[in-house]
Amino acid sequence: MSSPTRTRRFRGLGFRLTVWSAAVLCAAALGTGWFLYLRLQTGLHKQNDEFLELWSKDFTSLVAQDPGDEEKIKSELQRETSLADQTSVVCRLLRPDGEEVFRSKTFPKHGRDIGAIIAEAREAKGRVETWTARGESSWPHLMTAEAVRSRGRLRYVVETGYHLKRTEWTLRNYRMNLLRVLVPLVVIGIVGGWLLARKSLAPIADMTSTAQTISRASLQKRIPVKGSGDELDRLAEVLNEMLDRIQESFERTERFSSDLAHELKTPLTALKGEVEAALIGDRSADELRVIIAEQAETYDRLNSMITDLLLLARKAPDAARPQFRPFDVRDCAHEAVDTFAPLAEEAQVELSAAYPDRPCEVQGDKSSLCRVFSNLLDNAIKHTPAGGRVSVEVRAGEKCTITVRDTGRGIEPEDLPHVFERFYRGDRARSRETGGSGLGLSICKQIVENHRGSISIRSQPGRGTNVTIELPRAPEHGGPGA
Amino acid sequence: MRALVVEDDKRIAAFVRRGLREQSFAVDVAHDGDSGLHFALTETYDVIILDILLPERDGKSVLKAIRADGVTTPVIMLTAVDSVRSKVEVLDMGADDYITKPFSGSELLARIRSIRRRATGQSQAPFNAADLVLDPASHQVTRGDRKIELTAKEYSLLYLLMENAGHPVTRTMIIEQVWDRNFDSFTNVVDVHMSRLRAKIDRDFDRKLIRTIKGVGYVLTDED
Repeated sequence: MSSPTRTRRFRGLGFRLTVWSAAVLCAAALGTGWFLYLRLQTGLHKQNDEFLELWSKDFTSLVAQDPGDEEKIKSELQRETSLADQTSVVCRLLRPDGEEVFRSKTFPKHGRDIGAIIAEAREAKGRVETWTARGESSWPHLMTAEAVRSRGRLRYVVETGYHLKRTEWTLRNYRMNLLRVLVPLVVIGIVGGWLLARKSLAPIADMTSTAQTISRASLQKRIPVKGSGDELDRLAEVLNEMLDRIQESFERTERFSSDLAHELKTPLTALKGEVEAALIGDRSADELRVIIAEQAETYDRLNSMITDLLLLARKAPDAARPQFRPFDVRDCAHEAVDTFAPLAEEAQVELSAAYPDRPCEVQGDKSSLCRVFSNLLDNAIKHTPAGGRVSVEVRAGEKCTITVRDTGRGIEPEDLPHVFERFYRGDRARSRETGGSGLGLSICKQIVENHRGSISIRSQPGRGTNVTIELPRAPEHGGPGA
Repeated sequence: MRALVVEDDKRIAAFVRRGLREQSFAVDVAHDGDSGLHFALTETYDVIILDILLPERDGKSVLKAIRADGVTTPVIMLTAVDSVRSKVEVLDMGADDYITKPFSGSELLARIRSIRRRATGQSQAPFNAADLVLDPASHQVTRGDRKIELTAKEYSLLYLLMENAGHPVTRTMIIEQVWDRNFDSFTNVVDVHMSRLRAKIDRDFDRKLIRTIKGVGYVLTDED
């Protein structure tokens, strides 16, 4: 049961951050300590070496002064080494045959073969290489030996040693101190790393818990942005933007569903009312005929709305494209003007059209694109008061540009961003009276986008509206499906 | 005249059958693709009405089998809005026409008349209704000895009315046939064009040929 949780905890970002920061801190401290220790050790050894050299010179020159008088030498050495006792210098004087002439009181029993030392001293120029002697005492000595010659003959070998108590003590002390520092440092590293990880991961935990509480019912919730401008803030902003879009799309869907229900309910209510009116009371055949005729019209309206909705729901432009064929957009404009000229005339609106001389071919479904023209002209004429003007213009540039202009009532700025939404009507009462389902512009947009085109609208209330469509042109001599 | 209706929805099949019987067709009904194909291959019909979505064997496959067997009987496909995207596609399949559900009986009958006219090679023959004559060969319309100038849309409208003379023509039919759309979002367009056509055909004559059938559409008739 707990094992997945445990695994997750040890695999978690927080755990890994803690381990890493502690490890890095420890490694850095350990490295620094070790480096300084080595430097100290080297420095001390060098110092000891120099010290030993000085003493060795001192002793040998003392012996060399008067090599014949052993008693004097012994007393001199005795004096020197007893004085040197505080400075921990020891000395032993050997004859070349290995016989010990003098040995200071604290000279260590280092166990090294005397013959070998003499042989080495005989060969060496100056003093021999130092060695460390570990006698019975707890502190080792740094040892060397030097030959004393007179008239080219080896007379004595002076062994000099330097007690390493202070050096060893210093180094040991240093190691202890290092440990005393390192242990708390590791603890600080772990705790600090954990705190750091917790602090920097806290926003992520916040995000996670906020995201968990966001559901369909609470889509308005947002992840808190700290305002620090860091990567997590950026992530929170991006997620919030995504939530905005999701919320918007949810709300649009919900609005659409409720609008749809409302739009369907209206004609159904009318139908039901008509049926009841027909059933109640005595009615002549003529009266019934009138009622049924009204019902038939309501059925037609319902049917056309459902057809439009199916058209909108069928958003599969790629599936439809194989049926696309090249056609001249001017044909659509022409047909639309033919269709709407009588309506414009009745509405006392001047309808004009301008096309280029050359064909303006696009690849697509002619019937649906012609419908775009019809919808736009229908809208323009409906919303233009008598005496106004409506014009259609087709331009064949790099793209095929279609503009429908009117001098009509225009659209209020607050309505403008919504006009392509389904069922959106700026002024519901008036629009329904003019017969619109509120789907016309959505359908236009969908058709244009299915043809990889774009549609845009500009409007000034009281001045008029411009709708512009841009469609990619068909290749000049491209056959069907090319 | 004989008609075959292949349609799995019994209510639609019954209403089509009733409509056709009223026009004195002898009607066979099949409720699935296999029996529909069997009827089509063993009997001779003047028209076949074929649903696209059928059990056992779908309409497209029935159509293919019929055509492969050399049967040239005119076929009208019944489609839901989603199943067929364009007339071209239906014609490519070897059908003669299509009609989208929901449709009215008069629409279907109008399609049958139009198809039979083409099938019997009368498509260029002039139409007559009282003293009104429409000549498809020359695109000329005359009433009495007066030549009537019509716009392209008005001509198509009149053609549709005369092809179905005596039978009602619905707004849906008009939009589909004259404007080549399978949707009906601007019925006032039909009304305006129709009123202009009527002005040209009927205004100066005592005998009015085009009548409104409220809730349905229009009819062109020379009966009183």
